[in-house]
Amino acid sequence: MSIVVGVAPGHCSHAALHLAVLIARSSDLPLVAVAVNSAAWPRSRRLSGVDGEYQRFVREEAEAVLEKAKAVIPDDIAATYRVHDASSTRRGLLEACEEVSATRLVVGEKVTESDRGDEVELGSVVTGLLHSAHVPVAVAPHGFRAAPGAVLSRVTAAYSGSETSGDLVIGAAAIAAEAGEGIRIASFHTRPRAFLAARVGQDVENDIVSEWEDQIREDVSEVLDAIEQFERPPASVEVVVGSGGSWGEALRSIPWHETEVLVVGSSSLGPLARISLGSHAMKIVRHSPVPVVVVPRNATEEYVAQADELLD
Amino acid sequence: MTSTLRQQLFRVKPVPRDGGEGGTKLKRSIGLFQLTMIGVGGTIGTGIFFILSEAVPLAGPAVIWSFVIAAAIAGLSALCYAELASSVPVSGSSYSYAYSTLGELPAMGVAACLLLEYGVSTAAVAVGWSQYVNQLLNNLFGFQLPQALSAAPEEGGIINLPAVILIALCAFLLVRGTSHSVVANTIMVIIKIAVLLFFVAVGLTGWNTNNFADFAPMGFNGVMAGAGIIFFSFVGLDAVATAGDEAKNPRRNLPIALIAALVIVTTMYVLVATAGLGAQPASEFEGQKAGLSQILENIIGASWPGTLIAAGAVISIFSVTLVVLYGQTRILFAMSRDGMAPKIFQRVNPRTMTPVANTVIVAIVVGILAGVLPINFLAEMTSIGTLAAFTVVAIAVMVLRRREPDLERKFKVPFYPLIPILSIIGCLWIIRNLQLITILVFLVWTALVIVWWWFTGRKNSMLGQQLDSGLIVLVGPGKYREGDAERAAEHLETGTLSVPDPVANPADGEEKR
Repeated sequence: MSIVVGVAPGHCSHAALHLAVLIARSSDLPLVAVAVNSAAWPRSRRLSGVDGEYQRFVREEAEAVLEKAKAVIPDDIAATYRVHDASSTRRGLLEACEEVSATRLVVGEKVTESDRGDEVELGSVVTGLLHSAHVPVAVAPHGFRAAPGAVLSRVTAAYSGSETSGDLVIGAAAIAAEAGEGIRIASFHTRPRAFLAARVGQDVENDIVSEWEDQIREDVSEVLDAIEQFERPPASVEVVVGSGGSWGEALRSIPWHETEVLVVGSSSLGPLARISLGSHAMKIVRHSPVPVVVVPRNATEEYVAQADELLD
Repeated sequence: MTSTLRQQLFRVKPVPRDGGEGGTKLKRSIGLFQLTMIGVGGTIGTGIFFILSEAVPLAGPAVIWSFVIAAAIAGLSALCYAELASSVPVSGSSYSYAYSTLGELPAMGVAACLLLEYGVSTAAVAVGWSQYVNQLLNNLFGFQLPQALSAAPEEGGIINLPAVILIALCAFLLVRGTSHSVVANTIMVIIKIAVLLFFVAVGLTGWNTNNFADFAPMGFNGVMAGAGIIFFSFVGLDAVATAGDEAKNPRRNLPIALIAALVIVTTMYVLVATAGLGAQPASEFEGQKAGLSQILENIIGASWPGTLIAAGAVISIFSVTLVVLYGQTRILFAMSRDGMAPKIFQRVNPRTMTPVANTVIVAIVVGILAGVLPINFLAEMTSIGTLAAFTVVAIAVMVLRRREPDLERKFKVPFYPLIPILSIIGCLWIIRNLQLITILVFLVWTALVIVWWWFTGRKNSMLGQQLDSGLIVLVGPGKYREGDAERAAEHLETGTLSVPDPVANPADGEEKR
């Protein structure tokens, strides 16, 4: 078991490395820094001439970025470094995860010149990973830094009211408890707009929201009951609801620790969500002020099973 | 400490002083133009696409006067509505306003009216939609649903399938959580107006003055009967009043937007009616389906103008159905939170954040109405519901002026008390001219709702429980004061009563929400 962190040649992956270190230290797992050489395809043919030169160049680039990573990763973390040849970055990272039987994959957000404010911009590789990964993917927001020696103090699990998300919250709580962290169950909503022409006023949606909050708090009590059964209870248990006009506001309406991650299930990131907009998980990833651990649909079962193991 | 019957009948819901929960007050963001568009958008599309076939047989070419009379009364009522909306700092429907001014029994009366107004008008509009869908299918693919599947039993069919499908579709969207934007509204308004202007432009080419020769064959009573059924197509004008709390400078913009919307809508309606009447004799309107499309096809002798109108009607009627169905679910939701409707109506699905059970129940009931009832009956039922609700609103304005003269009103009805009185007279007058069966059904329905309240809501009333447990203290008829201001406000906000006041009433310990 290990934590895989993807470092991209040519990019500065400090945020991802810092997050990976934080997670590795909190969970006591070794770190594997992977730079994918996506130009090495097809793999079997030996290339000569210009192609060979180019191959050497990208390989050197990948090795150079791993050297840089070495400088960032502190000595208390057991880390290995590898260049992985694959047809695409996404596939390379997934293959690397498989080879070292990773439990988490850590990546950084896309780095662009344009300033998008608070919004996390996901590159195509990360978006693809969120859809296809078999392990939870942690996304580090741009500029994320963890203090030397820091460990995770709390895990916030997003709860949407669905059964899957209830299981995920319990899973996250088990893993957090094992690592001696606190768990916080958070639900988020943006205030819906009423139909103005319907002649029922604007406040009616506020009532719907407060009714929804009551409902969520009622449902969450079941999850809390399950958490109470733990042999080793989490350091702290908390339930919060974040609200705001937009997802950004909603996520920022609750206080966050500096060393905290938000766990989001993404059962809705299925094939349909690729074409239809409006996946809540995706919006949460984009607007979260802290690193987000997305548990893709493919990884949900394993994640929950992993938690069950810890409980037994 | 059980309240007396009189107290129960007229207990008035206190108004939260700070403007309600959440703390996040909406920004006043809607300007005059958009406010007007909300009024126009809420109104056009409810009736004009199919009301001519129902109203012309009643009034003849004098239906033009029916439009003007209906518009005038709708305008008077909308002014009263605007004052009430601006003086009761809760945002809501006329049910909430009545509850906060006249008391519980009148509020239930208004609720009965609103359930008719919303529920039945959704059904009526859906039936009109079904006509245009059929027309569109026929024009585009040469295919039409058989009569059995596209008409109510009274009209020789079995079920109006497209109408039912439309309701199901809208319910699906509402369950998924659809919210509205001001921009989308403005776009819809432009589509509707464009379609109607197109009708007028083409319709006028078939002008024949002879069609107006026998201008008012049914006399003044015919005109009023026409106005009764047409009133239905002015439902929605009061949207301006309820959007008022989001409007910039409401004291100035509210009346201007109301009048502007009224003028635009009435002008469009009169133009459409005049063009239609000029194009075909009054006798041909009766029983005409997808009327506006048919008229153009008869003039041009080609199907494309009819197709265009039908397409426009299908789009705009769809949006209206969605909005009205939404309104219905939210009124029931508000009533349920007050303890006036079964609890199931306030259950919110955590995943979608919408009242799913509520929406499904409403859709089933409305779907049945739309499937089996003929459009003229539905239109009249909507009219009577609206008219009765408007009457209560005008009364509420006068009651409130007398009882709380110092209340801050962002908008005041001009020429008080003339306008509320005229509004009441006008509404009652139109009601008098509706079919007897409509009035009877309305009375029976209202009586049923009141009886239902008598046996359930009267006891389940959140307000009643708060009064009984001493959270709110009644000081004279229709006047309340919070027993414990802080706690009462808290309970009002959440609408719950989980912790009864042990000091005030230890016997009520088992009382829960």
